Amino acid sequence: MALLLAGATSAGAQTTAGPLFRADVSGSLGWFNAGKSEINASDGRNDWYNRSLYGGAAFAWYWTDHWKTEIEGGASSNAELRTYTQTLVNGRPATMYSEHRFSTRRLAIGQQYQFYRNVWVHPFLAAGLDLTWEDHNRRDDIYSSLPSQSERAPARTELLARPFATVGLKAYFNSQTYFRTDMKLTFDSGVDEVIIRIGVGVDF
Amino acid sequence: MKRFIASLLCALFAAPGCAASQGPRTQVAPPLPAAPAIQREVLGEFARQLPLGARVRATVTGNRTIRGTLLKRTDVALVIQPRARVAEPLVEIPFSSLLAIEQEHKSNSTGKAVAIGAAVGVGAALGLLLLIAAALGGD
Repeated sequence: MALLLAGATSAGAQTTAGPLFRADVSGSLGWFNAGKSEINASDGRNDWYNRSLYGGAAFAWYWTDHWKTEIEGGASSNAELRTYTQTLVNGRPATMYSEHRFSTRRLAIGQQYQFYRNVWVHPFLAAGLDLTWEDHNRRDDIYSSLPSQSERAPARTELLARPFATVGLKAYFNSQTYFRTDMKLTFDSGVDEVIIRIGVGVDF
Repeated sequence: MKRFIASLLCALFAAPGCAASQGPRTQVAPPLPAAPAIQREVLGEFARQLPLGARVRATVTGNRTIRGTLLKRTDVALVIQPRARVAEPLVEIPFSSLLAIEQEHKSNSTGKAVAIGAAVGVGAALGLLLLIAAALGGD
């Protein structure tokens, strides 16, 4: 991030003329995937939930024709992850099936570098900080030789601050309006989230 | 036997090379004198006969490449409208700063470029995701 910001500063210093446009706004929809290894780490079972829709909007400020700072707000829809574990209840073996439901809201700020100048298709790279408020609901069903029990854990919201990196491209319909597609990776201990997005934006 | 092989090798080394004895297989053109004056004269002659409205790609001093439409020719320079998404000022290129120039032919459209870009982007993103899923996913 610091490197990207430094790059933006030096690039700005080298450019005498201002950028073609000062700012842009964009909206996007995407396929949201998140890893939950802390919940379902046993036996190498799938610990990702993949059925979540992401929607977001972003505002960006161009420092030069290549560098811009982007602030993005977004949210992901409820998604489910089911797990099961073997446990003991009153000294008797039991199986606990858990249903986790996750949704997120987020605010991200990042620095983006777009390749080429004043062309119709611009690949870009971005990196920055992602603040995620993750809502987590959990229900456990416990099956044993005793009557089965169902428990619902209190809903909780956790704030996560993580770095992210994005790779994507913008393809312009006309001089100002563009189609945008990208893949955003959020990191914690490895890749934590993957969002594949498409959207549109306008420079002004 | 050794004497025979030694004699044969001596004969082969002493004789002109087989390939060389058949004459050159490719014609090697002597390098043109790299005098900038001649180069500029040739480039200038070529540039002067380009039709107005032609799409050109010119390389100028400093190895800067300019792509655009030829709008005007004078005895000493070309005037090009750069090809860009957002209109940019005309560029005058003196023949004296011209290092290379070629005429380009229109081969694509904006829609095609957008479609290609979108397809490449979505394809690349999905491909990467599949790789990540394959690397990290279970089951």
